[in-house]
Amino acid sequence: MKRFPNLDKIENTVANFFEDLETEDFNKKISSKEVADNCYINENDGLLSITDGKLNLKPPKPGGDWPVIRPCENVSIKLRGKEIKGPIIVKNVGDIEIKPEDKSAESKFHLYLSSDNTKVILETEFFQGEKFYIKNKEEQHELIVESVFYEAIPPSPIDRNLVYEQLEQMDVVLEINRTAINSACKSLTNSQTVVVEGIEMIPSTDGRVKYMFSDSERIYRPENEKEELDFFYKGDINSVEKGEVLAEVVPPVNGVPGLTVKGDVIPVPEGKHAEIYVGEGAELVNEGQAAIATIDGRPILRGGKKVICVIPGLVVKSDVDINTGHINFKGDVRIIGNVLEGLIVKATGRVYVTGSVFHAEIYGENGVYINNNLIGGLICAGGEAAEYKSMLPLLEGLKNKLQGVRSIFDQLRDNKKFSTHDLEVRGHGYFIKLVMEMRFSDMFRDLKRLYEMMPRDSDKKKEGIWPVVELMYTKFSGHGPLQIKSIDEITKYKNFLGRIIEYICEDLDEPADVKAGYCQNAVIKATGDVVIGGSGVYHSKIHSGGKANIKGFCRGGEIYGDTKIIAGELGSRANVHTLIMVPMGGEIIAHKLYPNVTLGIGKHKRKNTELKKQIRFTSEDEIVKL
Amino acid sequence: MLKVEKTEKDEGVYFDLIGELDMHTGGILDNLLQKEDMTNIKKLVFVLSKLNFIDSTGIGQLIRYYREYAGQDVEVVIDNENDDIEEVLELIGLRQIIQDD
Repeated sequence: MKRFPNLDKIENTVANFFEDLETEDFNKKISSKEVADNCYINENDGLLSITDGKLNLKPPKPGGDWPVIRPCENVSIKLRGKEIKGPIIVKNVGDIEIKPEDKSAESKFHLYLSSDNTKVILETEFFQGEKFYIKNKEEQHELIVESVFYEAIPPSPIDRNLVYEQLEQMDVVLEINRTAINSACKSLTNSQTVVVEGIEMIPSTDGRVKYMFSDSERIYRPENEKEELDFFYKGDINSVEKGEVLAEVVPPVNGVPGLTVKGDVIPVPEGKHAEIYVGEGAELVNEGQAAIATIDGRPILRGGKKVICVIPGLVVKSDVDINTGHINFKGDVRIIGNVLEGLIVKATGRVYVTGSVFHAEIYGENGVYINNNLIGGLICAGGEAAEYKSMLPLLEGLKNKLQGVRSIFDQLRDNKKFSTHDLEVRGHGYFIKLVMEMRFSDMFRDLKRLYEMMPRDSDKKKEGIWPVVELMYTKFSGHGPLQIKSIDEITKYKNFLGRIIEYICEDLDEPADVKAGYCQNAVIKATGDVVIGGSGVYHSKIHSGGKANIKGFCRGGEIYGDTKIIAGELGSRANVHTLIMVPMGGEIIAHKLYPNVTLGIGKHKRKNTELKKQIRFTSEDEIVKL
Repeated sequence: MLKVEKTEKDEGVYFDLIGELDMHTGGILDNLLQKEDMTNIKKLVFVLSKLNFIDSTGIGQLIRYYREYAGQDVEVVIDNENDDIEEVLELIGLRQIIQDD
């Protein structure tokens, strides 16, 4: 179809027209503020204004509307005496009355009982009143009458007689606190005051079971600033000893009855008694008022009734390593694995290791049993007794040497060619030092070894024989002997050592043994027997309170047995020095004895110089036979 | 009192000690030995048979000489035929280091 030739012009004209229309609309908008303020659209409309609280009317011109009036908060508008709440048209101001609505002050009270009826509480509230005046307003078509606050009206005190009247109706028999009531009524401040008070009931406390152990698997001892941080310390295994108190019954505490304000007694129920339940490893004592452990072991609580049980023994189903940390347990410990370097295992019972022990320390008061190898480290069976037993050879040696010094002095004193005049002048110290150096020079070495056995802990150094060891070390080392005034002091030390040796040698309740397959570069101390059932012992130090039985070889190191030492081979072809010692009355038996092995019975020592087989080293009537 | 009689022999120098060797008289022997020229001396012999008394100070003095002259390659020997003096030397342990002539 062919295009209309003026179509473009027509389209432009239409577009211009629409543009013009949009511009006109924007210019014609009136702001809402102008509408609110003026409230009139027509200049012929009537107007209202307020001046000094008086309403003024400007009637409308022809074509205009009468003005409207509306009250605001705290304002009263009446039309011919009738209160209006909404907007009304005003044609005659004489019909309209406007005035401010003051808020009156208020004082009120409320009496109520506490939940247990032991108190009557007086609650007072005081509200301040407010006075207003009508705000002046300029001429407007729709006039909102507003008020302005100008003064507060204080509340009045509460009439206390009203309070008493209400109290009477509450049937209160207990004494009324009139002073409190008067004060609350006059205070003009909000308050809650107890004006009648009875006695609150104190409820009874039920009895309970007080558990003396933690139910945690591990217990951490308090940190000691002096102790070095030990990364292997993961807390002590929670364990108890036989006889230890596990729980006690705390009896119930009866309460006190109450008294209401109406004179009624509030009874109090008696507290309930608690009961201890025990299972295996625990028993009740004191007529059920306490529970104690009947065995060493781990305490646990079973079930909802919290039955107290003590589980004997601890089983560690892995190596003892940095993950498990040190083990410290009251009872037996069984380790299904190895004990690795740096770890410490302590048990008041026995310690069983199915694997090997590498550079660790194991303390089993009733014995230590290692299935495989012991490489490095320390094994101690029998507690402190084992430590003391291991000192016996040193103590006996020292005692004998001190006796020797005394004997020499006594003999020389009877010698007519020996003068003691210098000793009387300067004391016996010079003589003692001379004899020690000339005859008993190894005494200083023994003293030093004993001194080096002292515990590092400063508190433990004050226990046992250590204070005397420390004194002896000072007295008999270097120039120390020169300070000794009399040979009698030597006798005192000798006697002291004799008593200590006696105590150490006394029979123990039950010796604790050590058994291992193989031992290398380790220290073993036992109050009982030491048995090495595998290939042998290499460069180790063994102290046995009973027999030392080494099935294989024993090369290097020192072996002490309190009764007997039995070995397959003592020493080696390489002539490594080995010391084998028993006290008088003991014996040493070996299938092979190599050169450079020193055998000792009591103070008699003999160094072997040639290979021997089937040897038996004994003493009879103080004569040593090989 | 201590009297010291010195005799020089081919094998060494002999000091006969007569009287008491103790804390009071030891200085006499000390002074004598200090004056002695040890250059050509190979052996020193202390003869104690005529001593009436010896005390621990005297014993210590003899031990001191032994240690001192050993460093100068001089052999120190104690010659004694008195049983009581010998008992003293044995008991104190001097015979473990200083032999009889």
